[in-house]
Amino acid sequence: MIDHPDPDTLTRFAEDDPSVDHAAIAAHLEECDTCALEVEVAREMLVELSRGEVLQYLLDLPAERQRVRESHHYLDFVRLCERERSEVAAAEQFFAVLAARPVGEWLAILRRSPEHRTVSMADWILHEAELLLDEKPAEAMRLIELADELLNEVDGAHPTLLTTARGDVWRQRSNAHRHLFQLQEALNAAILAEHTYRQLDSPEFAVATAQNTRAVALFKMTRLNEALDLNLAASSVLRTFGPTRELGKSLMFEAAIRLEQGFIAKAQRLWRQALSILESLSDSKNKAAREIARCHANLAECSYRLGDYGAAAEAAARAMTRYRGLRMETEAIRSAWTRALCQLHRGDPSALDALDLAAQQFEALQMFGDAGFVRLDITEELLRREEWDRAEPLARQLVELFTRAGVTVASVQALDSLRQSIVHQLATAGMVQYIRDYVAADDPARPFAPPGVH
Amino acid sequence: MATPDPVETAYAKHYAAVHFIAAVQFRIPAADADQLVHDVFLAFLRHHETVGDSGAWLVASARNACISYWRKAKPTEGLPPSLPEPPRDLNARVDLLRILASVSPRCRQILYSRFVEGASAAQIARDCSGSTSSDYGRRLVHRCLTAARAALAKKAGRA
Repeated sequence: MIDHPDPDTLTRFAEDDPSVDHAAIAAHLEECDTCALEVEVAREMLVELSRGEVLQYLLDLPAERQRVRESHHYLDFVRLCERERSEVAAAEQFFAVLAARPVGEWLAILRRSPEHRTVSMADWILHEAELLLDEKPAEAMRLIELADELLNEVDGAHPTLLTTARGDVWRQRSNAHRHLFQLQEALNAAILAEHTYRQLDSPEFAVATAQNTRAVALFKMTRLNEALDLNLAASSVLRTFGPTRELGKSLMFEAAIRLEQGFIAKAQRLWRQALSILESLSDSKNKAAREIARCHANLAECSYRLGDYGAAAEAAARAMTRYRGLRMETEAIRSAWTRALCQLHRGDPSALDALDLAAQQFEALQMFGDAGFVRLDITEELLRREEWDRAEPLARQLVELFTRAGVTVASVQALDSLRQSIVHQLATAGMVQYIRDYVAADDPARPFAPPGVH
Repeated sequence: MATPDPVETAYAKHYAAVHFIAAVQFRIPAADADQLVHDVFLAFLRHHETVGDSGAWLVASARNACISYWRKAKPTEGLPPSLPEPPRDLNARVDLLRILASVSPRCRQILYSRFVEGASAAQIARDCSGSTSSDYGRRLVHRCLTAARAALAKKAGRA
């Protein structure tokens, strides 16, 4: 058998150049898939070249470019880009002025400053609203309404930009309703976002993002299958647009559903795909930073559930760093909790101290329920080690913590029964798991029965 | 030095591909094609901050806009059989367009003469340098194909 022909020779072979040894190369191609593929690619290109219209188009291109440069469309577009740039810069600057004043005064201030009543300013306000969604959804909703009112008073904006911004308002309104547990309103707002986007000449991308927003509302309404179908349809449209933040978010949503369904490996693959897309974006304003942190946190969760504690600890550490950079302390503590659990599984002696630190940090933020669950993990480990003296005061603390968290009386009874079992040295790690599940459900309709009693 | 505007950069880089899709692939009349290309870039202006591959985004958006155009133009009829072409083929053509845009105009002319007009190697040699050597003509064609091939390999991440 001959050696691999060089790429030049393979191209000549594909061109039927008589100067190459056709018989020898043909024999080689029978044996070598790599070279056969090279020849196939070269031949495909020759076929495309012979169709001619591509080349013809390129030959005409210089004249066409000149025509376009002189066309009113191009000149309009350049003017629009310049205007957009200056409006974005002005909105960024003026937002600092607004932020120093109460939100109730913003619209009046903007009414006195017509030069700042722009789509870019509405975008800026919507972006701020998005940042508030998790922790202050009512405040976020207030900003969204403000952005909506502002858009009604914008003069001279391009209709495409204005319509897209109106659709964005409906989409964010849906998100805010969802965070406020107004799920039917969230669903309606997502539908209105979709209708608004459909007025655009090229609406597919925006419509797919609105469908994802609707899917999240359906998911929260526990209409899981509808949510998943809609999300998959949206992802397949978004995928045709190449890597975008919206595709990354769409995959993250599917990953969250798969995790909920218990398909951990599938969820892990989706989180990885989403992370890779989000990290590939140039994202100069760091708008995907929260999503990237969430991907790391969820990858930690998946690896943990799959028993790969090393990978889980690394992903959790990355999530912690990202969340701290974003000043999302609560999420950073959650990742620290996951990392401490990984340390525990790997026999790291500092694991209990790390868990204790996470519990203290939750308590400092008045998050007594989360602190209680971390302390339940510590209790479970102490019982495994039969360290009764350390477990007993901790169990007393659990009753107090969950009471402050406002759980049902039955949950408090469950925790007290755990304490008593510890006092009598009868409790086991399995009992802690049973109590944890009961308190996590915190279902007022389900009275507490000790493990084994039904 | 001022940073170049990403939207204007994308316009300069991908205008040819977007206009090619509208004008050549979907045969949209010239005046409407200009408007359609304009609308696609306007949509891009709105979304560019979240886009990782501006070329892929613009190609997909252009294709969707062209399909919508024909749907609106003939609201009671199906799309004409020649429109639109299958997306796979379309993407291959657009890829080729992008690749060929990166080879020299002289090479494009040589490839056009050889593969579209069916000129012989000797004719190409004569047109390019006054030589009558068909070997020289073949070498010219080969060199241009190699340049196009290198661009293709680069695009596929194999360079």
